[in-house]
Amino acid sequence: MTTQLLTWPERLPESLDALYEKAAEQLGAQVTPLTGLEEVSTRRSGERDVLVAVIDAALVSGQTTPAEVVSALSILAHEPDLDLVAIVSDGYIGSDATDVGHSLAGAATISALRSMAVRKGTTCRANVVCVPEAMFGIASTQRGPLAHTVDVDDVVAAVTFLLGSSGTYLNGQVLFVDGGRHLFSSMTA
Amino acid sequence: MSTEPTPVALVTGGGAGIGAAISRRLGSDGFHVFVNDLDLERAQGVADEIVAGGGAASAVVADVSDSAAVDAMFDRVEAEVGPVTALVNNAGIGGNAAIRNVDDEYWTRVMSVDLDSVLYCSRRALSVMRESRHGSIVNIASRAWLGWWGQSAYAAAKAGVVGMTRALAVEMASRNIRVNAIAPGLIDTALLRNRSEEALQRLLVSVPMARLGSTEDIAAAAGFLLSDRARAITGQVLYVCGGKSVYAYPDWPDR
Repeated sequence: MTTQLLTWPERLPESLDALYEKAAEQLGAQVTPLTGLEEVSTRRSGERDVLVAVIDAALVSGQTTPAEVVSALSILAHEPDLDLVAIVSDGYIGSDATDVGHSLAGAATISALRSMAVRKGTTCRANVVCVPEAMFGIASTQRGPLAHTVDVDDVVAAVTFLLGSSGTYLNGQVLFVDGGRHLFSSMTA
Repeated sequence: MSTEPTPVALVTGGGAGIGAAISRRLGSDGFHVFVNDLDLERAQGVADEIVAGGGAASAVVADVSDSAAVDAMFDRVEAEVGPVTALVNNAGIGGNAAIRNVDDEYWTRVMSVDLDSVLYCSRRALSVMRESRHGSIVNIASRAWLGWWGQSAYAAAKAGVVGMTRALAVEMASRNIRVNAIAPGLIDTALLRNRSEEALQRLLVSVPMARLGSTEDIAAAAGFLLSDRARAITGQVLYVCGGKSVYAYPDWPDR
């Protein structure tokens, strides 16, 4: 049986198109889409599966609400033997464009994953990749100092770094794939 | 279009522990690695290993807390192979001293080896990188900058490294140069192995993953941050610490 890359939500914005397929290919895993995060426990293969949850994709598409994200995260917190990466937008740092409820879901996700890292540290790894709001179609004037525009390959590289053999001692961390925008915030060191 | 320059890495304090693992990793990633150390034999040993594995490497001795020695080292690297495109500021000294024992001499030594060296090497490397608009730096900081017993001097120096990392990341971004830091937690090196098993177990209570990290874990993070795969990442302080940085220590000594 192959390792599954469990993914949620099914639909991603154009900027992240092919994220799941590319990450699965690099990890040697097989994509298993979830219709909701609460499906995780029923879709496990018995192998050491990994999960990628693109929180903001579900929020901007209206597929879920910040409150539903929070309750899904508490379900995930009880899932044993699962390494996961949540992708959130950098709006939570303080944004001139992101909806406040939406920022809250990002902050809640990071908070929940940090607690998972502490409580289940011996069996699970939970890390976050933080990407620009613009990837979710949110028109922010804030940007990082690097000229490079963050693209899906940058996100794939970060996700596979964290979920693969390179990241086995990383737990509860936030990897900013944002051209350096986070630097200007005190929340990020 | 100019051709890509030969990738040249310089790893300070590369003769042992984390520095040696980073050197080996960059060797297999295709860099010509200059392994810096105070001790030629140690540096040469790591360089020989890389060459034996099919890579390219040279040993280079210099005291990185001496700016003239650092400039001379870079001159030699440039003359022998070419400009440094990947700099790893790893050299440093640890130490454990309660504040009453932090005398002027100890403070100056920690600051010069752990912080001045980062200035000297980065300044010299960036003078070339900024012209070629090509290159990347990884600084080895420490989780200890967040605070730990007996670490006032070391934490101050490593906090300095974090600040310099972030400031240089901002300053050099328009030149396409990325500057990141790795903050290791408890890593399985000779330094830690010198402690008693009991002391080690007591330390591990503070790590959610309940184990030490390996030098290869740090090397993998350095290899990633220095590669083009991390082209959107700058100013990051990456804690490779098994979750220690998100935890509050549950077993307080001396209370």
